[in-house]
Amino acid sequence: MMTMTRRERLEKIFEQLRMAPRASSAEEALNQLSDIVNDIEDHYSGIPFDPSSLGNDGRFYPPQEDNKRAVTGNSNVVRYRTKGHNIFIGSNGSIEIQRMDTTIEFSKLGSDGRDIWSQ
Amino acid sequence: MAETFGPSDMENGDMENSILHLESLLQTRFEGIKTTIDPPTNADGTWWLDCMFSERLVTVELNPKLGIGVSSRESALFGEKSDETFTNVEDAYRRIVRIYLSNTDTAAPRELSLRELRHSLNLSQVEMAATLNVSQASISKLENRDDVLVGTLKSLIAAMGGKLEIRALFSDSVSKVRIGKSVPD
Repeated sequence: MMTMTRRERLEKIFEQLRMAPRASSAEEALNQLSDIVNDIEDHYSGIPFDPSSLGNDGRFYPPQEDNKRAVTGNSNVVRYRTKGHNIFIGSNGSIEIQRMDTTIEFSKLGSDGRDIWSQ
Repeated sequence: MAETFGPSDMENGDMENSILHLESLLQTRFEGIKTTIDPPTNADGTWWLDCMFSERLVTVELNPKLGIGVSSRESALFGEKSDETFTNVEDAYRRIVRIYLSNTDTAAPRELSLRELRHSLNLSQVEMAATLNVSQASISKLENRDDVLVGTLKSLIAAMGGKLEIRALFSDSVSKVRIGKSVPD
Protein backbone atom coordinates (compact mmCIF):
# COMPACT_ATOMS: atom_id res chain seq x y z
CA MET A 1 0.00 0.00 0.00
CA MET A 2 1.27 3.46 -0.87
CA THR A 3 1.03 5.72 2.18
CA MET A 4 0.94 9.51 2.23
CA THR A 5 1.55 12.08 4.97
CA ARG A 6 -1.45 13.55 6.75
CA ARG A 7 -1.04 16.87 4.91
CA GLU A 8 -0.86 15.12 1.54
CA ARG A 9 -3.98 13.10 2.35
CA LEU A 10 -5.85 16.18 3.48
CA GLU A 11 -4.96 17.99 0.24
CA LYS A 12 -6.18 14.98 -1.71
CA ILE A 13 -9.45 14.90 0.24
CA PHE A 14 -10.15 18.57 -0.53
CA GLU A 15 -9.04 18.13 -4.16
CA GLN A 16 -11.43 15.20 -4.71
CA LEU A 17 -14.23 17.02 -2.92
CA ARG A 18 -13.70 20.01 -5.22
CA MET A 19 -13.74 17.77 -8.31
CA ALA A 20 -16.88 15.84 -7.30
CA PRO A 21 -20.22 17.00 -8.74
CA ARG A 22 -22.11 19.55 -6.63
CA ALA A 23 -24.54 17.83 -4.26
CA SER A 24 -28.23 18.73 -4.29
CA SER A 25 -29.11 17.93 -0.67
CA ALA A 26 -27.52 17.90 2.77
CA GLU A 27 -27.63 14.10 2.85
CA GLU A 28 -25.88 13.83 -0.51
CA ALA A 29 -23.22 16.35 0.53
CA LEU A 30 -22.54 14.55 3.81
CA ASN A 31 -22.36 11.17 2.05
CA GLN A 32 -20.00 12.59 -0.57
CA LEU A 33 -17.72 14.05 2.10
CA SER A 34 -17.79 10.83 4.15
CA ASP A 35 -17.13 8.58 1.16
CA ILE A 36 -14.16 10.67 -0.02
CA VAL A 37 -12.57 10.89 3.44
CA ASN A 38 -12.99 7.16 4.10
CA ASP A 39 -11.81 6.16 0.63
CA ILE A 40 -8.61 8.23 0.80
CA GLU A 41 -7.85 7.11 4.33
CA ASP A 42 -8.45 3.45 3.40
CA HIS A 43 -6.04 3.76 0.50
CA TYR A 44 -3.31 6.07 1.77
CA SER A 45 -3.25 6.25 5.58
CA GLY A 46 -2.27 2.66 6.40
CA ILE A 47 -4.36 3.07 9.56
CA PRO A 48 -7.45 0.84 10.05
CA PHE A 49 -10.87 2.43 10.41
CA ASP A 50 -11.69 2.44 14.13
CA PRO A 51 -14.74 4.44 15.16
CA SER A 52 -14.87 2.68 18.54
CA SER A 53 -12.35 4.98 20.17
CA LEU A 54 -12.14 8.74 20.73
CA GLY A 55 -8.37 8.77 20.59
CA ASN A 56 -6.36 10.24 17.73
CA ASP A 57 -5.02 7.28 15.76
CA GLY A 58 -3.59 9.41 12.97
CA ARG A 59 -6.48 8.75 10.62
CA PHE A 60 -9.03 11.34 9.46
CA TYR A 61 -12.72 10.64 10.09
CA PRO A 62 -15.80 12.21 8.47
CA PRO A 63 -18.35 14.16 10.56
CA GLN A 64 -20.27 11.93 12.97
CA GLU A 65 -24.01 12.06 13.59
CA ASP A 66 -23.60 12.53 17.35
CA ASN A 67 -21.74 15.77 16.63
CA LYS A 68 -24.63 17.29 14.69
CA ARG A 69 -25.94 20.71 15.77
CA ALA A 70 -28.71 23.00 14.57
CA VAL A 71 -27.63 26.48 13.42
CA THR A 72 -29.60 29.16 15.21
CA GLY A 73 -31.69 31.23 12.83
CA ASN A 74 -30.84 29.15 9.77
CA SER A 75 -32.84 25.99 9.30
CA ASN A 76 -31.14 25.35 5.94
CA VAL A 77 -27.78 24.66 7.57
CA VAL A 78 -26.59 22.00 10.02
CA ARG A 79 -23.25 22.07 11.80
CA TYR A 80 -20.99 19.16 12.72
CA ARG A 81 -18.43 19.85 15.42
CA THR A 82 -14.97 18.27 15.60
CA LYS A 83 -12.05 19.11 17.87
CA GLY A 84 -10.66 21.79 15.60
CA HIS A 85 -13.37 22.51 13.05
CA ASN A 86 -17.01 23.21 12.38
CA ILE A 87 -18.37 21.59 9.23
CA PHE A 88 -21.47 23.30 7.84
CA ILE A 89 -23.72 21.40 5.44
CA GLY A 90 -26.49 23.19 3.53
CA SER A 91 -29.83 21.78 2.42
CA ASN A 92 -28.80 22.77 -1.15
CA GLY A 93 -25.76 20.43 -0.87
CA SER A 94 -23.22 23.16 -0.12
CA ILE A 95 -20.32 22.54 2.27
CA GLU A 96 -18.14 24.86 4.34
CA ILE A 97 -15.37 23.71 6.67
CA GLN A 98 -14.25 26.33 9.19
CA ARG A 99 -11.47 26.22 11.72
CA MET A 100 -12.48 27.17 15.27
CA ASP A 101 -11.17 30.71 14.65
CA THR A 102 -13.75 30.85 11.77
CA THR A 103 -11.07 30.76 9.03
CA ILE A 104 -12.63 28.97 6.06
CA GLU A 105 -10.54 25.94 5.11
CA PHE A 106 -12.82 24.59 2.39
CA SER A 107 -16.08 25.61 0.74
CA LYS A 108 -18.18 24.26 -2.08
CA LEU A 109 -21.38 25.46 -3.70
CA GLY A 110 -24.59 23.44 -3.78
CA SER A 111 -26.20 22.21 -7.01
CA ASP A 112 -28.19 25.49 -7.22
CA GLY A 113 -24.91 27.44 -7.52
CA ARG A 114 -25.32 29.09 -4.11
CA ASP A 115 -22.95 28.93 -1.18
CA ILE A 116 -23.99 27.81 2.26
CA TRP A 117 -24.98 31.25 3.57
CA SER A 118 -26.87 32.42 0.43
CA GLN A 119 -29.45 29.69 0.13
CA MET B 1 -12.28 16.70 46.11
CA ALA B 2 -14.02 16.50 42.78
CA GLU B 3 -16.68 13.91 42.18
CA THR B 4 -15.68 11.16 39.77
CA PHE B 5 -17.83 10.21 36.82
CA GLY B 6 -17.04 6.71 35.60
CA PRO B 7 -17.87 5.10 32.26
CA SER B 8 -21.20 3.78 33.57
CA ASP B 9 -22.26 7.34 34.43
CA MET B 10 -21.25 8.46 30.95
CA GLU B 11 -23.45 5.76 29.47
CA ASN B 12 -26.34 6.83 31.66
CA GLY B 13 -26.38 10.02 29.71
CA ASP B 14 -26.05 12.74 32.31
CA MET B 15 -23.62 14.52 30.06
CA GLU B 16 -24.79 18.02 30.81
CA ASN B 17 -24.06 17.65 34.53
CA SER B 18 -20.64 16.18 33.74
CA ILE B 19 -19.62 19.03 31.48
CA LEU B 20 -20.99 21.67 33.85
CA HIS B 21 -19.08 19.99 36.66
CA LEU B 22 -15.84 20.08 34.67
CA GLU B 23 -16.42 23.70 33.69
CA SER B 24 -17.03 24.62 37.31
CA LEU B 25 -13.85 22.86 38.46
CA LEU B 26 -11.79 24.75 35.86
CA GLN B 27 -13.37 28.10 36.66
CA THR B 28 -12.59 27.57 40.33
CA ARG B 29 -9.00 26.54 39.60
CA PHE B 30 -8.12 29.19 36.98
CA GLU B 31 -9.39 32.70 37.60
CA GLY B 32 -10.23 34.38 34.33
CA ILE B 33 -10.55 31.22 32.26
CA LYS B 34 -13.03 31.64 29.41
CA THR B 35 -15.22 28.61 28.75
CA THR B 36 -17.83 27.85 26.12
CA ILE B 37 -20.09 24.82 26.12
CA ASP B 38 -21.21 23.53 22.71
CA PRO B 39 -24.21 21.22 23.32
CA PRO B 40 -25.46 18.64 20.80
CA THR B 41 -28.83 18.76 19.06
CA ASN B 42 -29.66 15.25 20.23
CA ALA B 43 -29.64 14.65 23.98
CA ASP B 44 -27.42 11.59 23.55
CA GLY B 45 -24.94 13.38 21.31
CA THR B 46 -21.43 14.63 22.03
CA TRP B 47 -20.84 17.75 24.15
CA TRP B 48 -17.84 20.03 23.66
CA LEU B 49 -16.20 22.43 26.10
CA ASP B 50 -13.72 25.01 24.81
CA CYS B 51 -11.44 26.55 27.46
CA MET B 52 -9.19 29.55 26.85
CA PHE B 53 -6.60 30.48 29.47
CA SER B 54 -3.12 32.00 29.10
CA GLU B 55 -3.70 32.19 25.34
CA ARG B 56 -4.02 28.40 25.17
CA LEU B 57 -7.17 26.71 23.89
CA VAL B 58 -8.03 23.35 25.41
CA THR B 59 -10.91 21.47 23.79
CA VAL B 60 -12.81 18.80 25.66
CA GLU B 61 -15.09 16.26 24.00
CA LEU B 62 -17.64 14.36 26.11
CA ASN B 63 -18.98 11.38 24.23
CA PRO B 64 -21.59 9.34 26.13
CA LYS B 65 -20.35 6.05 24.67
CA LEU B 66 -16.62 6.59 24.20
CA GLY B 67 -15.54 8.79 27.12
CA ILE B 68 -13.73 12.12 27.32
CA GLY B 69 -11.25 13.50 24.79
CA VAL B 70 -8.82 16.35 25.51
CA SER B 71 -6.83 18.26 22.88
CA SER B 72 -4.82 21.45 23.06
CA ARG B 73 -2.94 21.74 19.79
CA GLU B 74 -3.96 24.63 17.57
CA SER B 75 -2.76 22.85 14.45
CA ALA B 76 -5.54 20.25 14.51
CA LEU B 77 -6.21 18.92 11.03
CA PHE B 78 -9.72 18.40 9.69
CA GLY B 79 -11.12 15.01 10.74
CA GLU B 80 -8.63 14.23 13.53
CA LYS B 81 -9.92 12.64 16.71
CA SER B 82 -9.07 13.89 20.22
CA ASP B 83 -5.42 13.64 21.26
CA GLU B 84 -5.83 12.11 24.71
CA THR B 85 -8.73 10.15 26.21
CA PHE B 86 -10.05 9.67 29.73
CA THR B 87 -12.85 7.68 31.32
CA ASN B 88 -13.81 10.18 34.02
CA VAL B 89 -14.10 13.91 34.55
CA GLU B 90 -11.63 14.02 37.42
CA ASP B 91 -8.78 12.56 35.34
CA ALA B 92 -9.60 14.90 32.44
CA TYR B 93 -9.63 17.85 34.86
CA ARG B 94 -6.23 16.88 36.28
CA ARG B 95 -4.80 16.63 32.76
CA ILE B 96 -6.13 20.06 31.78
CA VAL B 97 -4.65 21.58 34.95
CA ARG B 98 -1.28 20.02 34.00
CA ILE B 99 -1.52 21.40 30.46
CA TYR B 100 -2.06 24.94 31.76
CA LEU B 101 0.49 24.77 34.57
CA SER B 102 3.22 23.19 32.45
CA ASN B 103 2.36 25.26 29.36
CA THR B 104 2.55 22.17 27.15
CA ASP B 105 0.27 20.64 24.57
CA THR B 106 -1.50 17.34 24.35
CA ALA B 107 -0.04 14.73 22.05
CA ALA B 108 -1.64 11.96 20.05
CA PRO B 109 -0.80 8.50 21.40
CA ARG B 110 2.33 6.95 19.93
CA GLU B 111 3.18 3.32 19.48
CA LEU B 112 5.64 2.47 22.25
CA SER B 113 7.68 -0.57 23.18
CA LEU B 114 7.19 -1.90 26.72
CA ARG B 115 10.49 -0.29 27.70
CA GLU B 116 9.49 3.08 26.21
CA LEU B 117 6.11 2.86 27.92
CA ARG B 118 7.75 2.19 31.29
CA HIS B 119 10.16 5.09 30.76
CA SER B 120 7.29 7.42 29.85
CA LEU B 121 5.73 6.61 33.23
CA ASN B 122 9.02 7.19 35.08
CA LEU B 123 9.08 3.63 36.38
CA SER B 124 12.26 1.60 36.87
CA GLN B 125 12.66 -2.11 36.20
CA VAL B 126 13.34 -2.52 39.92
CA GLU B 127 10.01 -0.88 40.83
CA MET B 128 8.15 -3.03 38.29
CA ALA B 129 9.87 -6.16 39.60
CA ALA B 130 8.89 -5.32 43.18
CA THR B 131 5.24 -4.76 42.19
CA LEU B 132 5.10 -8.05 40.29
CA ASN B 133 7.20 -9.95 42.84
CA VAL B 134 9.72 -11.08 40.21
CA SER B 135 13.38 -10.32 39.60
CA GLN B 136 14.59 -7.21 37.79
CA ALA B 137 16.23 -9.54 35.22
CA SER B 138 12.79 -11.01 34.41
CA ILE B 139 11.44 -7.57 33.59
CA SER B 140 14.45 -6.89 31.40
CA LYS B 141 13.94 -10.17 29.54
CA LEU B 142 10.24 -9.46 29.08
CA GLU B 143 10.96 -6.07 27.57
CA ASN B 144 13.30 -7.62 25.04
CA ARG B 145 11.03 -10.46 23.93
CA ASP B 146 9.44 -10.45 20.49
CA ASP B 147 6.39 -12.30 21.82
CA VAL B 148 4.66 -12.12 25.20
CA LEU B 149 1.76 -14.11 26.70
CA VAL B 150 -1.42 -12.05 26.96
CA GLY B 151 -1.68 -12.80 30.70
CA THR B 152 1.89 -11.63 31.28
CA LEU B 153 1.27 -8.47 29.29
CA LYS B 154 -1.91 -7.83 31.26
CA SER B 155 0.02 -8.11 34.56
CA LEU B 156 2.80 -5.89 33.27
CA ILE B 157 0.41 -3.13 32.17
CA ALA B 158 -1.50 -3.43 35.46
CA ALA B 159 1.79 -3.01 37.34
CA MET B 160 2.29 0.24 35.43
CA GLY B 161 -1.15 1.38 36.59
CA GLY B 162 -2.95 0.73 33.30
CA LYS B 163 -5.38 -1.77 31.85
CA LEU B 164 -4.72 -3.94 28.81
CA GLU B 165 -7.41 -3.85 26.15
CA ILE B 166 -7.30 -5.93 22.96
CA ARG B 167 -9.33 -4.90 19.97
CA ALA B 168 -9.80 -6.63 16.63
CA LEU B 169 -10.09 -4.20 13.73
CA PHE B 170 -11.91 -5.22 10.57
CA SER B 171 -12.63 -3.13 7.49
CA ASP B 172 -16.18 -2.40 8.67
CA SER B 173 -16.27 -3.16 12.38
CA VAL B 174 -14.30 -3.27 15.61
CA SER B 175 -14.63 -5.71 18.53
CA LYS B 176 -13.05 -5.77 21.93
CA VAL B 177 -11.53 -9.22 22.38
CA ARG B 178 -11.96 -11.11 25.64
CA ILE B 179 -9.51 -13.92 26.23
CA GLY B 180 -11.02 -16.98 27.92
CA LYS B 181 -14.46 -18.52 28.16
CA SER B 182 -17.58 -16.72 26.94
CA VAL B 183 -19.76 -15.09 29.56
CA PRO B 184 -22.99 -17.16 29.83
CA ASP B 185 -26.16 -15.45 28.54
